[in-house]
Amino acid sequence: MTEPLPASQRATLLDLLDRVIDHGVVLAGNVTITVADVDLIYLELRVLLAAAERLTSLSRKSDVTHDVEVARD
Amino acid sequence: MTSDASTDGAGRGWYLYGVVRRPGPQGQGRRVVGLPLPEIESVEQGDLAAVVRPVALSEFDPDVVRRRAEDVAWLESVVQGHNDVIAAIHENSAILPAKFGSIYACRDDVAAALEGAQDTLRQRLDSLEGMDEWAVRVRAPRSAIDERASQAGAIRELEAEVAAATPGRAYFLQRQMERHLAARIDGAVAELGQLAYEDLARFAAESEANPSGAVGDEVEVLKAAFLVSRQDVEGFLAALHTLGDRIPGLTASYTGPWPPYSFATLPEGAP
Repeated sequence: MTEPLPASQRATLLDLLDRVIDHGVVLAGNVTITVADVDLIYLELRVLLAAAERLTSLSRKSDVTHDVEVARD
Repeated sequence: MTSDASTDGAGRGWYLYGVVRRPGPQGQGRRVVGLPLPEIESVEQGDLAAVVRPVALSEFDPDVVRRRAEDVAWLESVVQGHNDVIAAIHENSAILPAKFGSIYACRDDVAAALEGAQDTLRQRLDSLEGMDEWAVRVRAPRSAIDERASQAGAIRELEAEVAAATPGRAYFLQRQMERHLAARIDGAVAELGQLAYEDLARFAAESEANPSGAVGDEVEVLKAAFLVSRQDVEGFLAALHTLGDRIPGLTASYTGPWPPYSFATLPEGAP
């Protein structure tokens, strides 16, 4: 049985990072910040946030709730 | 209007948000209005336009970024800012979001990047027209996984053999069954994920499954992004809400609509 869901759930920082950082078009050219650096930071941060989210969801059995607005609420 | 900040060099860089179809006759450096940040501009090239913002390069120096990334509040504001601009544009027109942290040294570099990939950019933009991305996670309770795993014929046969065997033989059969069951559990997770993926993909133009993992006493069987046309979104959301009716035990959670981040990658071999 599926629990009723709101039309658009609020995204966590982790959701936002997963969408924004891990994806997107890379165009050739003189990109001054290396994408590899961003990816490394993302991976490190992701581990931290995922651990924090797991702790939260264990203590509070509700899932996706945080204080970040979704793309278009 | 061209701001002072659009002068190239002098520690200035151009932060790229994404690529859009050129909305109409606009001059170079024309500000894009109605966005969360007033200093957003466009770099136009043929019928394409890059959405950019002049930034101080020092702000995005790799060392600085690495240090500041430990500050979650800073990171959240930067990532949120990136999304806010792209989402605002996405509401009104198709946008191909850029990889977070793409910064160019000068406007000419941005224009050259657009020109170099113009055919694939156009193609990709066309396929994103009127589409939103939805991020979906599907979970199943451990019990549903175990039940599915134990339904396998081989397991059932072993169970019957264990029941009929002498105590000594039953011990070895029991061990054998446990090994079978462990392998079947991985299979059951993959099967449930596949079922959910196919069920939801009925409403999507494109979809992308990502590796999923365990969540507490539930198992995440699917983590995926779906590109859904706004015409099909009603059916898609209805399918999400009723997934557990068709595939018992499954619960879905989702966020969206998002700009098409997961579907912005250009095809392999594109310039």
